[in-house]
Amino acid sequence: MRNNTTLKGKFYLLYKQIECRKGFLKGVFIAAFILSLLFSLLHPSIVKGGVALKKHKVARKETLYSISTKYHVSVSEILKANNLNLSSKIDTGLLLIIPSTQPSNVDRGNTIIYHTVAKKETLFKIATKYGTTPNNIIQLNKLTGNNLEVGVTLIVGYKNNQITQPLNEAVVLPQKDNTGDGNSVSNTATEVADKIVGLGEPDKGKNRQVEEKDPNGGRTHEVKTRAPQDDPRNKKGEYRNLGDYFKYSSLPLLILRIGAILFILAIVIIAVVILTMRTNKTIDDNKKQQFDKFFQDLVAQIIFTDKENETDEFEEEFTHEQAKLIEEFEREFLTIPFFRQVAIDRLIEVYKSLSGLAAKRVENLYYEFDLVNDTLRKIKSARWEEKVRGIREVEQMHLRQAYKQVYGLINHPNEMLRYEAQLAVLSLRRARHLSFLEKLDTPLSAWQHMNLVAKLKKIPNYDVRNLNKLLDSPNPSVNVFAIRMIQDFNMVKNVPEVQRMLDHPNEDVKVAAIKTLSYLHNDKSILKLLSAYPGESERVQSEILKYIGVTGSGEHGGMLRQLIGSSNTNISHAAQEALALMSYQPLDELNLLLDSKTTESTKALPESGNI
Amino acid sequence: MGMKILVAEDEPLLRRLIQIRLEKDGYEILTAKNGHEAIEVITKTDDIDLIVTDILMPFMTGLELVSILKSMNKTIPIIVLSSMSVEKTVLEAFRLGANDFITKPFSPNELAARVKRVLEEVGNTTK
Repeated sequence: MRNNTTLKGKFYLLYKQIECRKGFLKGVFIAAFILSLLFSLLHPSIVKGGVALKKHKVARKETLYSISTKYHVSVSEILKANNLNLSSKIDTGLLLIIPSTQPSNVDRGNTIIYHTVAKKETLFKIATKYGTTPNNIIQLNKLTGNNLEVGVTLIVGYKNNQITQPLNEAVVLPQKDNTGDGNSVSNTATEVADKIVGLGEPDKGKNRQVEEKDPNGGRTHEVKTRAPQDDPRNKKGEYRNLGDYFKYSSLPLLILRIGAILFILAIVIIAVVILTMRTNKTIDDNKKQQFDKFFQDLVAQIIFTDKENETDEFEEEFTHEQAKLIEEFEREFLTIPFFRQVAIDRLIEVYKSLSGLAAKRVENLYYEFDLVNDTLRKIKSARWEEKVRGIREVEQMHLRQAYKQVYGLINHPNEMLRYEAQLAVLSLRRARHLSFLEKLDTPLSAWQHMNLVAKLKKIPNYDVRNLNKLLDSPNPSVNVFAIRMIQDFNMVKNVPEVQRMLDHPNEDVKVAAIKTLSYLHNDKSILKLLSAYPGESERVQSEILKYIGVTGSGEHGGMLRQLIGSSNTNISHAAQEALALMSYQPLDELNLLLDSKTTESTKALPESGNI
Repeated sequence: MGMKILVAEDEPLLRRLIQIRLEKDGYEILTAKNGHEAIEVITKTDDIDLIVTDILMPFMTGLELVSILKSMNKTIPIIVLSSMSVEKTVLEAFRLGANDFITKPFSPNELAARVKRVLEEVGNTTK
């Protein structure tokens, strides 16, 4: 087998393709990179750790703990975020990274610390007790003032489940008064660390309420915790499974994430599809090139065969070698519909350009490849555009055997289709080329009229006899066509027939007849027109006035002058135009008449019927 | 012989057929798909003896090609091929400097004969 595209070849082509499309691939990769970046930003673990980062500059007298309560994070989280340990020095002016924000404390299973207000308790007292500030409590509880009611439960802070902060212990780190700039907390920090380690067990149990007795009196604080097994996330803040993720994740974020995933998927699919298509295209192109080469050489060999005996040129047989090539070509390419169509198109193009023996041989090939059946099948196709294609091929290859089929389509409801069929029938006919129009009962546009005339003029020895039959057609558009043909082909002999058409009931036919009569001037026409004028419609009357303008002599000038004053503006305009068209009529006289018309507008004017 | 002929024709099969037919007569054939390509070939190749060009081609028509060659002061003889046997087109082609005009459909043998004649005529005048 010739020109086999092997798998190896395909891979080579793919490689070549990729090499050629570096720019395109670069674009795809950049897009994929940006999208994955976007996606990773939306990933929960990053949201947890990265989005809510804050910075804090350590002020004078500030301790690690006061900072931690200010931002509602644990001391250990601050230490972790800043790569510090409890023995590190926290100096004034040091810039600390505060890892997380308030809502995430609750989200991640942290405990809300509640305090029920006892008698004589003030905001300040409670704040001091929990190592926080009055303002903080106001903010957390959205309080409007400093007054507290006894028995009201307030949120005073958060407790981390992993590393539990002491509640009743001295939560305020001892501050070392120092006149210098640095507030050293190193010693106390170590102490706290010990305490933290001691109390480091996270709370266990479900929605436990802890009642703790305060040594100072009847004040209680409630601690509501969410048990670790209720939290859908692990210690790292990641969801245990996809189900939990979709269940607990917030809706807008969820939509965004799903959108991002779908978007990336779509991009990947599109990239794959485009690449595949392009690869296929390259393979196709390759095959097309093989087709072109084979086809061109084959056609050339057949067209340029020198035959010793030229007399039998129309029944010539292919040589043994040619027959073999044809067979191979058919086997290799003509089993594929695409190549059959390309072969048809190419042969038609050459058939149109060549004449004599060469054209005949092209035609022979068209039959030899059995392409004629492809064309005939198209005409039978249910799809109108396929039919149109078939009709064009029939016309271009002059397939007279398809004449009847094409003829059957000249009145098809589809305008494009029937126009194409009419043109094909016109060029397939040997004589009386236009007689098919006698059978036409669909309207014929001015555009199609032009096409038909152009096509007709290309036919050598075209025959336009018997136009009179078309004038008698019950189809007014065919009558109009015939009248215009008489004008186009300057058939003076047919003028009486055109005059006869002035009695036609159809307005279009009358107007066409008047126009043609104005070109093919005849003395009898004007008399007929003038006698017909009174009973005609406004449009026909205007056309008659135009006729007078084009052909008329001075004797009708008076009539036109009278009509300029007509109460009917259309008739008045037509009369003005006609007067302007009359060569003898000087323009200033026309202007004079127009002036007099405007000044004597109330003057009674003859009605059209009185002329 | 070995004379160089440039064939500018957009229809691939016809271009190839013209090429093969003229090669049979011993000419060396260069081809172009359109006027643009033809100009490129002409600027790259100095010793083109004749141009056979179609009129209706994409990007640049045969007539445009003829007028551009004229403006480039190239005195290469040109045979124009056209399916438009309109008098105006034929006259325009000759006015622009075409040496011959062939109307489609044409016989390849006729084209070969005209090519031969034009080359002989040009050969005689330059001698």
